Amino acid sequence: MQARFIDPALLAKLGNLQLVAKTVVEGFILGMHRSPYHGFSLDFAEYRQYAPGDDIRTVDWKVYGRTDRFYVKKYEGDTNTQLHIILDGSRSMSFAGNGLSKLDYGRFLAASLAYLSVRQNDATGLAVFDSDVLEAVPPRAQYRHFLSILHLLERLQPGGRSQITESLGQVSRFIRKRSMVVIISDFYQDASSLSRALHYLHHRGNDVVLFHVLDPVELELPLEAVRTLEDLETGEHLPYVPGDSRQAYLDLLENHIQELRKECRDIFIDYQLLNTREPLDRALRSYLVARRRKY
Amino acid sequence: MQFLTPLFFLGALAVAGPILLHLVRRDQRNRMLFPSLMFLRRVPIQEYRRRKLRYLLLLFLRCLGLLLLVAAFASPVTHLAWFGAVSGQVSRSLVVLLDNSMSMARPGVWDRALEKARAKIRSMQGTDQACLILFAAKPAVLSAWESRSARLLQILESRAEPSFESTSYLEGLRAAAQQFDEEVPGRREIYLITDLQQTAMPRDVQWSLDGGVRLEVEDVGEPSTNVFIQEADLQRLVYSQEYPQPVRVQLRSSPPGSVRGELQLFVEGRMVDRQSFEMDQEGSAPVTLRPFELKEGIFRGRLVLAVEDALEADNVFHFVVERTTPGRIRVLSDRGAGSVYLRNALGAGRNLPFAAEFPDPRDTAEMDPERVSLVILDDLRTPPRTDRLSRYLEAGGGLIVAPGKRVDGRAYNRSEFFPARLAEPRFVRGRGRSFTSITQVDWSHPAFAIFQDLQRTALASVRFYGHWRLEPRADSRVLGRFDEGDPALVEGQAGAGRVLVLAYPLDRVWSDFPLRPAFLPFWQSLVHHMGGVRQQEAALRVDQSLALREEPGAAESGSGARWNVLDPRGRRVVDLDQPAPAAIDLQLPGHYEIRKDKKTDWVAVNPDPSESDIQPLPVAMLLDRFQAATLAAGEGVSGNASEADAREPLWWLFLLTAVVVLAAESVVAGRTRPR
Repeated sequence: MQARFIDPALLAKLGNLQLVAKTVVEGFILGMHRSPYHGFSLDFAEYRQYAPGDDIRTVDWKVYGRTDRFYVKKYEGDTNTQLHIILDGSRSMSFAGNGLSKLDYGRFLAASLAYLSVRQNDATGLAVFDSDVLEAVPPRAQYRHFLSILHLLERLQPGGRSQITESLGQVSRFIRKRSMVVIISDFYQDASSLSRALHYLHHRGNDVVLFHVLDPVELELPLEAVRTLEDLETGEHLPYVPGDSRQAYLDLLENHIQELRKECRDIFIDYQLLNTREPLDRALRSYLVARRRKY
Repeated sequence: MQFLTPLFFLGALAVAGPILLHLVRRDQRNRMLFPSLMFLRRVPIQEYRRRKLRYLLLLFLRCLGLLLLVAAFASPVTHLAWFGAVSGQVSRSLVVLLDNSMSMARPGVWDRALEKARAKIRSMQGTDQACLILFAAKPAVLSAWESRSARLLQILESRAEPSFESTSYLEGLRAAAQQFDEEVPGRREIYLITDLQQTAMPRDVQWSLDGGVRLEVEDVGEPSTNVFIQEADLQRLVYSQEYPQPVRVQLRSSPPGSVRGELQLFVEGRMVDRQSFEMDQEGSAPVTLRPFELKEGIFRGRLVLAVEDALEADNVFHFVVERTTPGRIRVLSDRGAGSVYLRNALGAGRNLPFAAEFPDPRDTAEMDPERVSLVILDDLRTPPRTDRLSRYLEAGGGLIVAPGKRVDGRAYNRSEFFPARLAEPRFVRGRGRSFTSITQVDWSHPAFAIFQDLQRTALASVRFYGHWRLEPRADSRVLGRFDEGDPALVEGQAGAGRVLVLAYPLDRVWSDFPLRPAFLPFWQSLVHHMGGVRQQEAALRVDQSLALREEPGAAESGSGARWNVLDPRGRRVVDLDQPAPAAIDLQLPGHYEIRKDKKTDWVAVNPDPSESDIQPLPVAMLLDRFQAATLAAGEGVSGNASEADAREPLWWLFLLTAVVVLAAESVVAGRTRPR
């Protein structure tokens, strides 16, 4: 079975986040018929004359022996890209209406992106936030660093209330040069206020990708019984009566999604709505599209 | 509203059930964690509140249903009139008892009483019912139970007016209580409107209202002074040219006080005497008016009080005097003038209705009942000619036989019209006793009417040393017996006449009766009875009855005389086309004109002087007197006790409401259930 068709719920049963990432990414790569992303293949592209500052390990000594000049090898896909994965660790992400929580889904996605990034020597960092930045791993390109990221993801516990705008402001201080910024969240925030933070990231030359992770229950609200709903972050109670309320809710959610989509489109930010019931390949594809556009 | 079994309210704890269920269902079974209520909060507020309200309504209905069930078991009762309006049941049965006695005719009192009655009737709720009773000496039910106040007001206005009768709270309240004899619904109340007179209270009658009847008394009286004629010593029948004695009148004022005035005596509209008077501190004044002359006939008289007081109706005392010829009594005796004691007894006193004569005992020519009203055989050896005596008795004459030692018993015993046989003379002396006494007396006989209570010992103390042993006939009546049981007086009917046989003569050899004070009144009473002397009063009282028919069955047979009776206002009392009633009620003060067989008679009628005594009665005394049984039952004040029995049960209403509420709960719950 190809990984793209692997149900996220099955991934959850693997238990090992590293294995999940490899399964997803390798399966994803193998599944591509014609890869538009061959830069990932580490194939030789050209030689370039050595310039001060180049890594001496990249000097092709065989060419130096034949030409007595220093040339460095350039490979396809070999860039200085930094990937910053920003994962929402607030309590609302712990909602699991379909067996797999949004936080787990985000965890899988973050691990897969990190693995994908490490495979092409991109420096990858991770920041987890709720109302504040909980933990952060600065971007590195080593595989060992990838393991640190996995370690952080594995011990991650849902935190408190989500304050995306403030948290993105803090994270942006760690992003010192043009990077790719992937934000994984359920984005329970007004699109207008979120837009300001995204503007800030975008204007600093970052390419931002929003992965809007929602549970099928949130997307469809298939509740048939009268319920009292309790807000995971605030503890607030609200009675829910099926009927007109459901449609009103879905309309409001759709409006919110459309607003986010519009805000992102206006500032050239990729937005991807992810259903935790769907496989991760759509997310990876979105990421690669964005990366290709940048490089 | 009260609850008879409030312990059932412990069941109200069951209300905690739906509340807990509500909370459990909301917080546990139906509780669901959700990432964010950000959008749900924006769901239109009306929708949310409506849902919330529906849930609260559901909870409310469940709790209300349970509480209503608990309340139904707690046996709720109510006194409220509105309940009757809601339930359609009669909530109150009210008797408006209006005093219309003469004293209510005082200025302002009657108007005030009517206004109170109107107000009470107007206060009736939709499902109240009431009846209207006027009362004085006798009650008159003006309307049966009626729920239309307009109808009651119409009856009140058209038929209620003061009368001239005296007040009797006992009669009024009894009539009101009789309205409750049948099962009447709702609270039972009597609303008594009166001027509260002390004289209207019963004295020796023990009767009180049922405990379930609430008595409310409305005092409409006001302080005032009334002067009235308490008593006038007047005789109707006069047997002489001049009224036989001064007219003695006792005046009184109520309440006692010093009042001056004048009393005038009128006969046929002519003033014959007048006297000024002044009441003493006790409110009493005796006035004596001089005798007046009379011709043959019947005359109407009036005593008029010229004084300003509260009541005018009792300031005139009507009377009738009739000058007539005294009846004749023939005393037949072998002793010529007869017994000296009898002669003295029959001649003592003034204005005697008879005149005794002592003819030769063999002169029996004048034995006509039209001319001789009574014959006395005073120790006459043999009776007069039997045929004449028999005809005399058949025609209605009276005969008294007083046998002594001269009497031939066998001669008397041959006549069948004597009610007893003269067996033999019997003397007590010689049998260990010196005398005997009359101890067994038929006191109901008119001849003994003068012996009232203690005076009866006067007859029992008479010593009889000897007497004839009488053997009464089967159809005769023994009026008295001696100690040993022998008859002392035996009366019998002979044709239309009456015969009385004594067992003793009228001398003092056989007894000491002629020496006793009781001898004279006894014989005068006996003569009045046996001689058929008319007993007529100079004046009757309002609410007394006047007998019209003299012969029972005469009217039915059509042989009776035609009566025409006009009341003091000139209105005909008796319908000429109908048989005359046995008696008529005298309702108005004044002179009633009675015509029969072209003869005219007059009857004077006056209010009861007790009604003129307007001294007030405390309300509490009236309530205590007629609600004594309720108080004795220890149920507190009378009002509460009566209300306790007038409570309306409400359990069924609570139960019905609970069913409706629970049905509504089912409907609401069904609509709330998610699709």
